[in-house]
Amino acid sequence: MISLVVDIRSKVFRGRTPGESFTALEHLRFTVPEGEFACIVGPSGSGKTTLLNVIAGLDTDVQGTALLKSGDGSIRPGDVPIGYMFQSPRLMPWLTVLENVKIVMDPAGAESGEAEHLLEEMGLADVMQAFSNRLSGGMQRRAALARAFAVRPKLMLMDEPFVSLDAPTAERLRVLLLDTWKARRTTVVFVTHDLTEALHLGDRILFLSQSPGSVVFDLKVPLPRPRDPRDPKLETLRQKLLADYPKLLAGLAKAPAESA
Amino acid sequence: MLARTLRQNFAVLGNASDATIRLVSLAFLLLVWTVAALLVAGPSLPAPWTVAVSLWQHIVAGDLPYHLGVTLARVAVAFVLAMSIGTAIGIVMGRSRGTDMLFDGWIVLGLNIPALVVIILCYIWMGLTDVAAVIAVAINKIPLVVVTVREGARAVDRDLSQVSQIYRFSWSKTLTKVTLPQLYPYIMAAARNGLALIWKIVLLVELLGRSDGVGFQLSIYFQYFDISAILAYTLAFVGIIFFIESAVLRPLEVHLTRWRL
Repeated sequence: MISLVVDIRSKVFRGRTPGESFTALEHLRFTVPEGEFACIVGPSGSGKTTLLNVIAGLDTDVQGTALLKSGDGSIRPGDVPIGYMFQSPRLMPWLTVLENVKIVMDPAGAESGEAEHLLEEMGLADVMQAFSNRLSGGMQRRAALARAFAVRPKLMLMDEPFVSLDAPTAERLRVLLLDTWKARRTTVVFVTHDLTEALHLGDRILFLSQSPGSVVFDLKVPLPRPRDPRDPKLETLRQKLLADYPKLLAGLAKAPAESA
Repeated sequence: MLARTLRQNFAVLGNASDATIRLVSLAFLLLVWTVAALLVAGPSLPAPWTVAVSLWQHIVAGDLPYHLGVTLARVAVAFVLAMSIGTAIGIVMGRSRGTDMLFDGWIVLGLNIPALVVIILCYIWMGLTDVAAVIAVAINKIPLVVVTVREGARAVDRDLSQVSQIYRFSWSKTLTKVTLPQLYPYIMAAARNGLALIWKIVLLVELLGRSDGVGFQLSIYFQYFDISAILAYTLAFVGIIFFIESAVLRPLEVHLTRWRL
């Protein structure tokens, strides 16, 4: 049983002068057990992306740790295969869709046909040989999703990956993500500012405060799977959360549209 | 009336393909040359056909292919040397602020030292050898490659570098699959400018300190005032460089940047 244990005392962005310093995260602690789909919800500027970068090891200038712990020790997530879906697909435009997936795999894995299989799963079988920048935004995200799962990640980090897509496309991708996750049971940390999306996807939702970000509310989502985002129960729960914690969720209630 | 005819002619040009326009333009240049030669009517400007005959004679005699080959070999070595060293330095300076600050002055200095000074110093320090000649040419070109490639390396997409970090790409994979593809337009620009500059400097180097090559031959024909031969050598050389540019470098650039929208 490997779980992700995050314990960040503080993450400060230092400016040129002391006065310009900005504390993005403070006293941020949580644990995600193996196989759990955890959503991080918080208003813009609450340090969600910073948190993912710290977990991924892209940002090492931090007081505190983010570790994968098991019975026999702990390792940094950067030392095991992890998947990271950024807000934009970040594919290499000079590589084909297939090459973009194969490039993250080891030589044996690239030959195994797994990349092709993943792309077929994502419905990209017909465009595997196309340069990735020829694809639509939704298709590029599916390719990025295939790439993220191609490394057989122990941990999947997702930073509002479906933002700026039209609603039907985003919903199809969420279903696709859930199917892929269900088949592989990867631990997921999914950042979003959209409460409906979090309720649709997550086993659990961690609410971040305004900056400096820390966990102010930890919700186990009491909805059975598979879920339908248009299920009235989901909407009722959303309304209830907003009513019960008006102050906490004020930044979210306004509009999912004013996104990152 | 004249203006109208010209407009019509240009309208015709506009419809023609690019290759036709190039051809017409070349033919026009040849026409200007012929007219000028007929007006001068002396040895200081031989007519195109006189030069063509001279070119043929020098080819048949074997001296032109030989010296052309020697010069092209020097161009090739200096080109590869300057491009590889310049690209490596350019990437390092573009990626590391410290290195950039440390060596920026050197690059400015290198850009501003006259080619002639470098050539003379190389010959004095290393003797009148081929090694000195090629190194002198490379040194002249390297700062220009560095400046161009550095510009590209500074613009390398940080987002994609994070991708290579997340998926733990090896050093060589990051270079060949992530960094270099972003630099190809800059490297190709440096290569195309570089070829033009290098062959000119190679001629100068040959003129000053070698006893073979096109530059050496030109200096001989200069002493004989054999303008037909000078133009014949020049045409042959320019033709070959033009061929390399259009048959190798341009297709290569198209291939390397074919993914662009």
